[in-house]
This record gives sequence, structure tokens and C-alpha cells, in this order.
Amino acid sequence: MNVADNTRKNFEKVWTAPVGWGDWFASVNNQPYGARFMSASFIFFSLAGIIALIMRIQLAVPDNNFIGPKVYNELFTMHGSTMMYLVLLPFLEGFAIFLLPAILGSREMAFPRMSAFSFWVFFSGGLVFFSGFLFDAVPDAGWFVYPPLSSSKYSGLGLDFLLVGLGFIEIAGVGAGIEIVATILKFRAPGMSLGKMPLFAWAWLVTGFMIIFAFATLFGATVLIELDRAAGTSFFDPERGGLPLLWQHLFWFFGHPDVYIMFIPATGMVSMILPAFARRPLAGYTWVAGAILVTGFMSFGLWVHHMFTTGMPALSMSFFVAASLVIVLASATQVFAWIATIWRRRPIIKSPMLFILGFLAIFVLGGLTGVMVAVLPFDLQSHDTYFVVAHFHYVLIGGVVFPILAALHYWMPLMMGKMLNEQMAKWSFWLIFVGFNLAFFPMHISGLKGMARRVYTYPESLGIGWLNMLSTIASFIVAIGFICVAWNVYWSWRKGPKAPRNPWSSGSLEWSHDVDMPNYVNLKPPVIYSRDPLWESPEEIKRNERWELISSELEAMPDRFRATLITDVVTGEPQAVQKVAGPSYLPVLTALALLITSIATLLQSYLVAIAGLVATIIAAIQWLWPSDPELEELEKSPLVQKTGLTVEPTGSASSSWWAMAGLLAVIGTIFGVLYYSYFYLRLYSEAWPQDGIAKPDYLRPLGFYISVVLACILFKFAGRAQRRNRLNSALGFGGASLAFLAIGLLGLIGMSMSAPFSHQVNAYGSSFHVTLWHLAALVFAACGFVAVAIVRLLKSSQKLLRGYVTLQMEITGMFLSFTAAVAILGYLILFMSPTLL
Amino acid sequence: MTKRAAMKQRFLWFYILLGGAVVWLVHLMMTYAIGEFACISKGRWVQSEGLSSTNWLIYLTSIVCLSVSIGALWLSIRMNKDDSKNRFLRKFGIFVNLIFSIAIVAQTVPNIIFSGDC
Repeated sequence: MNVADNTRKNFEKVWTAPVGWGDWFASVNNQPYGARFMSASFIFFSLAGIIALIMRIQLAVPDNNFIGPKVYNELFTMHGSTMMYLVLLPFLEGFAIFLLPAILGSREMAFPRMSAFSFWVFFSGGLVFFSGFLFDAVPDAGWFVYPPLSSSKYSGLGLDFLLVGLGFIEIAGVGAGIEIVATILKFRAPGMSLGKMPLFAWAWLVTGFMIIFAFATLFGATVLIELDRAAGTSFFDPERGGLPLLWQHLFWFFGHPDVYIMFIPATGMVSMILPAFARRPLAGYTWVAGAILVTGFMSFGLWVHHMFTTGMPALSMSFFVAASLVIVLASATQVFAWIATIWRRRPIIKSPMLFILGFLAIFVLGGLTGVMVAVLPFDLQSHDTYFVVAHFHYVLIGGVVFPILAALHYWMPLMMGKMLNEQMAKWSFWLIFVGFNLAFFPMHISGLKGMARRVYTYPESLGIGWLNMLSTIASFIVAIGFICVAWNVYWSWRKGPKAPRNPWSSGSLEWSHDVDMPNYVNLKPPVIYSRDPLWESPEEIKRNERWELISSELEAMPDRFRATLITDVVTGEPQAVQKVAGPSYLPVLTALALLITSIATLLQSYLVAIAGLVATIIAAIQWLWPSDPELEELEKSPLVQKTGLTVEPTGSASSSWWAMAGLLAVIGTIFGVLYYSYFYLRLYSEAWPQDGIAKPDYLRPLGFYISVVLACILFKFAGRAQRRNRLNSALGFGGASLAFLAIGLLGLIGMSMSAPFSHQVNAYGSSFHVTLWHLAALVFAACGFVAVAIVRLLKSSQKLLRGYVTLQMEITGMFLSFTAAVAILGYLILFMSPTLL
Repeated sequence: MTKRAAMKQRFLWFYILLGGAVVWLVHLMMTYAIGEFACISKGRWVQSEGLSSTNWLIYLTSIVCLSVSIGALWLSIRMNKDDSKNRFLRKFGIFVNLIFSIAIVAQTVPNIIFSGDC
């Protein structure tokens, strides 16, 4: 079917990203934001690289005093933090945001404004991170910020810059994680079942969930450590009953999965690139998909292997040794699948494949040393030596940076429309590969000889001067290699030859497009019948008439606003046409307001901070304000009538439902951090409550908790009334629900204010008050959700579609049920457990 | 498909996809928590049949978790392999649940070696 010219023109106009300086901020399309994530990460990578070179000059000879211990401490903190928080994951997220719609056969990411917001928040976080240099307040407590070194007693304003910047990056990470999960689950082409989903998407699906849980843990922990520093709580202060080891548990519960959060997407890239050059489908697709899931899950059970030297019970540590060894099965499965794919084939050796081969060699070595440090007796010997530095650089550079470089060379023709210079690409590969091994392999030896990490120098008597000199010279070779990559990208962008369509003869869907993908990616949704659609023989396909009809009808449609097809999570069966958000300044304004709030708080300008907070809330409300009159038009259009699709998906069919599920997972994890901290502190405390504080009265606060539960029940009735079209009843129940929530909120605030002990008295007091504050914030957010739902109910008789309001009621109901569950748990822990347990 | 059958199907999917993974995590957390708690409250644990109540509890947890994980593995094996819709889920379920079952067994081994070690 050929669409009319004016329909196509309208369609293209709707999807065109705004141009011009002002509009640059309003654009929300996935491709510019993918590119912005990658560009910003590259800038931060360059800064981290310069820092690394300065550190290497310091370490080139023994007893050197080139920068001294203070600056060295600052530099290793900034290098580690930048690479872990600002470079690797954001670069990978850039790839995901850029490529996922093309790989999945969709037109956009699920929540384009969330992409934009995540980018601006991430970029602001990076600026806050580095702004410490301007105020001579550079953090110096390591990327892991262990207390007591990170307490206000030993670390100054620099650490606050790091923690605030980190908070921003966590918000950005969680936002991107939720968006990526919702996109992969719901925004796939017809027929793309889980079993036909490209492994890049499998990897990102698992990673998205991991980001949600891991970053939420770090966010919860960061709040606690900042409260210790700024508000005088004592979660980690041993003088007042706190435990520094609690921070290590919380941090590594994030920190270990974080390594896999970077590694898993990289393996997804490898599994996409390798088959193109081996000219055959990936061997063991199902095993690889399974291995990704196993790796993602198990990575959350290994955090203790970073704490083997902290004096934990041998029995407890042994469970984690076992888990650390079993995860090797999953990683090895992937490695064997890649080897099997190129086995008995002669792969075409182009630059992306060279980087893949380099990845295999280096990552396997890093994996082997990983097995060594997972073994308790060996780890006790090598902990905090350069052996560990060598190990994690082999894993992170070999396992993540090499696949990123392979992906850059592989997908650049699609992203830029230009081919990179192959000769230059090969030069950069050899420089980086040889330089990397010369720089980091000697560190295994210097570590085993006793060179301590995070120390600015080493004595000559260790006899490792020449090894360090070699590492330093080689690190400059690596830097030249990366300059070659950057120059190649720049040169190709400006003067490179135009890339042909599908230059690598790949089988995956994204190459079905012309290079220079349009903003909408797919004019017509593709229909998927196999895992490698471009390699399938058309005559062998048994076509599905419904999918083909839907695909034809959606060619250049709808043409009045942005929309894309959504499909079933498991089967890829088409379910609905969903509106996608268009250009808006709100994401950048919300991020800016949040930045002002945080900086003002950091500098203790509380009036400005309050103004910033109010601006953030106003921007967020404006963002969520209901206005969707176009959908009514679409519902009556021939497109929907012919295909039987809905424009008002409800329940788990809607991507909003999944976004809410993701948000609840984030909040649930933050409360998990609080409740875990409560019990951990209690477990190691001789008396609980500490310091003779009386056990809390469990009857007095009961009424407030019951009112939160009642609010949830009443809202269920409101939802039921709305579904039965009884608007007045729905409004009545909704209003009553809001009133009960307000009572609960006041009660929670009152409980904290009237407690006979403060949050500063000891760890018990901190835990008690901070948990109540979090509960109050949750109930406050619930009030906001109910208020928005009431507004939607009020507008439902005029403009909004019924199904759209139903969805709003459903997701608000989810939030309220969750709030009630968390509140009940909070009541049991704070008020009942001291008496009963 | 009736609503009940659809729910059953969905439950089966989730059990096969995530059953082993979830119980593995539960097993690790439970055994870790039991180990920590036992070591802190040393002396309050009852000895029976040469094993402390810590060991008995860990064995009990392992048996329960392993049963759930093997249940998911068994269901995966029993799926109809000729049905093209099930082929992916069947192979996937066998692989992931087998690895998680092995992991649960591996995590039980320290209980034999380190009985009573803190």
C-alpha cells in the first residue's frame, strides 16, 4: 500500500525534531538523546583518561613526589567515580536509547521525555561532580566512599559534591532503566516474541531491571550517608551505635551488580556483532539468553566477596564463595557460544570483529583472575593490591570498553550514515590492545609483590619500578589509541564516505533501514517471523494475516501526533496504538529546577532550595497534566476500526502500568535499604532501643497507619465506581481517600516531632526518624497521585477517553496499595518488633 | 482461553522463567542471615544428632528451595517440545533452572564443611 503524499508529509512533520538553539532543548527524539548520552560520556571519559595519565606519571618511579598524596587521593577518587558513574553505563545507555527502537521495530522509546530528563539530570550530575575542582573541594574518599573516611569529620565539601552528583546520576540511571524495560517489554514489532527477541534487547531487559534495583539501593544508601554528614544522624558512626560495615553491605549490594550492569549490555552487543562477521546465526541463542538472566540475578548475590577481609563469619562468606564460582557457568556459556559461532568458520576480520576478538582474549583473562579472587584464601592475600586493579581493568576494559569500541565501529554507519576509516580503525585497535596489555598485565605481578592500591607511591625495595615504568609508558600508547578512535569518528563524520545500506550484510532488523535513519525509524512497523529477519528466505515464511494488515494500516499513521504500536510482553501479539510524547521544554526545566534545589541545599541557601523544590513540583505537575483529546479522534478512525486495536490499553497491556511497576520497585528497594539497615543495626546492638530509650508505644500510632490502609481501600471503591461509570461515587470515594491519606501524613509527621528522642541521639533514633520521614514522603506522593486522579475524573466527562481515566485509576490504585503495604511493614518494624522480637 | 486458564498459563511462564532464580536468591539470603545470626548469638543454639540447629535450619532451607527450583526444571522438561511456541521457553527453563539448582546445592556445601565455624 502506498500512502498518500500529504499523509506521509504530515507524518514526517509530526516526527521531525525541532531545530535551532532554543528548540534543541525541546527535542525528545531518541536518536539525538542517544548521541548526547554518548558525547557527554566521551567528554567525561577524556577527563578520566587525563586523570589516569597523571596518576601513572606519579607511579612511574618509586618514591615519587610528582603530585603528592593529597592530590593522588583526589585523582583516584575522581578517576574511579567518573569511569563507574559517568562513562561506561551512560555510554551504553546512549547506545540503547539510540538503537533499541530500530532493533525492536518500534518508532520511539516508551517515554521520550524521560530520556530527555534522564540525560539532563545525568549531565547536571556530571557537572556537579567536576565543579569540586573550581572550589578546591575535590572528593578524596574513593569511589566507594567508605565511612568513617567519608564522614564529615574526615571529608569536607568535596564529598558533598560527589554525593549530590551521584544522587543525580542515580535518578538518571533509574529513569533510563524504567524506560528501557518498558520499551523492550511493550514496544516490539508484531511477532517479536521473547524467543525471537534480539540478544541486545535481552541483555538490556535484564540490565534495565538490574539498574532499577541496584541504583535504587545506592540512592537509598546515599541518602543515609548524606544525612549522617549533613543532618547528624548516626547510621555509620560507631560512637553513637552506628556501623561503618553497614555502608559496605549497602554499597556493594549496588557495586557488584554495577559491574554486570555494564558487562551484560556489552555481551548483548557482542552477540549482535559476532554473527554478522561469522556469517551465521549465533550458536546457542537460548542458552545465551538464559545465561544473561542467570548472570543478572546472580550478580545480586555476590556483594560479600568484596568484603572478605572485613571479619565476617567464615560460614557466611563461604555461601558467597560458592555463588561467586557458580556464576562462572553462566559467563562461560556465553563465551563458548561465541567461540562456537566462529568455530569452523572463517570470520571476516574487519575492525568491529578485531575489537570482538580483543574482547574475548582480554575478558577471558580477567574472568580467570576473577575466579582467583573469588576464592577466599587467595583474596585475603591479594585484597587491596594492584592484582585487583589489574583484574578489574581486564574485566571492565576488556569486557566493556572493547565491545563498546566494536559497537561504535559496527553501528556508526547506521548512526552517522558514514563509514569509519578502516585503516585508522585497525591502527587504533592494535594501539589499544597492545598498550592495554603492556599497561595492565604487569600490575598482576606488582600486586603479587605487594604494591598496595590507593597509595600514592611505593618503596624502591619492592623491585617493581620497571614494571610501573612499563605500565606508565603503555598507558600513553592506550591514550594515543583512543585519540585515533576519536579522530576517526570526527573525520568520518565530516569527510567520510557515505555508508551503503547494511554494509556488514548483517541479519538483524536495524539494518533493514537506509543509513541515516529517520526520526520515526519505522514508517511501517516490520513483521517478525524469525530471529534474523534479514537472512530469512521469504518463501519459507508462513505469513500472519492480522500482523500484515496491522503493519499496512499503520504505514505513516497516525499522522496528527506521534504514536507507535504496542505488543504483548511474551508473544509479541499487537495490542494497541499508543501515543508517544512529543517535543517539550519540561524535561530540561524539571532537571534545571532539581539542579538548583540540590546546589542550593549543598551551599545551605535554604530559601533558594525551597524555591527550586517548588519549581520542580510545578514542572512535574505540568508534565503529568492530562490532555489527550486526539485519542478520541483516533479511536473512531478506520485504522482502529479495521485492525481491532485499542487506543486505550489498560492494566499490564499499557506501558504506563509497567512504568509504575518499575517506580514501585525503586521505592520498594529504597524502603528495603531502610528496613535492612534497621535490622542490621539491631542485630549488632547490645540493647535495642539503644541507650535506655523506652520501647515505642504500638497502640498510639495505630490509627494513623489504619487511615493509610483505609485510604487505599476507599480508592479501590473509587476505581470500581469509575469503571461502572458512576462518576459522582468515584469522586466521593477519591476525595475520602485523599482525606484519610492527609490524616495519615499528619500522623507520621506528628510521630516524628513528638518522639522523646531525636534523630541525632544514636543509630536507633536515626533509624526510627528517617524511616518515618521516608514513610511521610511516600504518603505525600500518594496524596499527589490521588489528587491528579481526581482531576482526571473531573475532566473525564469532557475530554478524556474512559479507558485513559481507567488506566490512571489503576496505576494510582497500584501506588496506594503499595503505600499501604509499606506502611504496614513500617509499623510492624518500628513499633511492634522492639516489643515482640 | 478462559480467564482461569490464561492465569494458569501466565503463572507457568513466570514459574519456569523466574522460579529457580527467585528461590536461589531466597536461599542465599536465608542461609546468610541464619549464619550471621547464629554466629552473633553463639551458645544459644541447640545441638542435635551432632549438628547444631543452625546446620539443621540451613539444610531445611536448602531442601525447600531446591524442591521449588527442581520443580521449575521438571516442568520445563515436561513441556511439549513439538509445539513451536513452547520450544524457546522449554530450553530456557531447563538451562536457567538447572544452573540455579546447581547453585543451591553449591551453597549448601559450606554447611557441611564449616559446621559451627564463625
